[in-house]
Amino acid sequence: MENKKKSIYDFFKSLNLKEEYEFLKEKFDFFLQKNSDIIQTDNQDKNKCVEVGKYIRDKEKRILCEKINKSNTLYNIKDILNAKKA
Amino acid sequence: MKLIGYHGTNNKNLKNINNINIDYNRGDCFLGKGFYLFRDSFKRAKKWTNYRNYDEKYVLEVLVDVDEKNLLNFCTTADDEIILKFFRLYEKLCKEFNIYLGTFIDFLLEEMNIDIKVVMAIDLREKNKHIFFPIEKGEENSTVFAIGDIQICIKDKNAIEKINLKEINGK
Repeated sequence: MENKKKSIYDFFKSLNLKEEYEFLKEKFDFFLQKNSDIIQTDNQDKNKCVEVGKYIRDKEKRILCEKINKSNTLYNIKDILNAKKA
Repeated sequence: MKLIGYHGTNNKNLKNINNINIDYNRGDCFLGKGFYLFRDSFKRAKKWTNYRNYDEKYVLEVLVDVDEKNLLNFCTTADDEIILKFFRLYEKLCKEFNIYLGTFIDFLLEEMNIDIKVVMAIDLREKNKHIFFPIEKGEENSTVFAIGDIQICIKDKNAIEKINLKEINGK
């Protein structure tokens, strides 16, 4: 049934991004067009979101922790991202 | 799953669930359209009203009841595989267009027909300034404490069980 709602878990569990990307892209473009008067965009925030996404799946985050753990100071996200580049 | 969240407002009529607006408001970029709460923090919701020039200030205490399968939860590592796939899709679709995360969530809800009733995430935006505090316990046991408020975004009013009104300094 096309209208039956899917759970978040079921959708992503079965998602094959390689095979379904074109379909999803088409749907997404349609959504953007339909809501173009209310959708906001921002370069900086986009970059932050993508970087955080990369950070989350970074298998080397333990090493990253060690890199920023040199002194007993508070850090913000810029410090983390800078440490990652180092 | 039961949650308690707090919402700062100048509108005491929001005590009635029917008066709550979950449609798009400009600025709903973080988790998309919906009714926003600070989880477990009356004080944070009260602080939020200080940024607004309200004559009357209220905090709503909102009891939320949502099935875990309808909760998009960024506050747990239990569903790593799902969250990583979520971010891969977000990055692939949204990078080119500079699209906010919240807009992407609403795309999943509205266009892909995914049953998301509540979204929950830690607010780690840079304006909080100091948000990570690394604690060294040894080579294999480093911990990074993330200091931030947990925000709840209600996308379906059926997830609201009860609302209690708390007046701060009404006239």
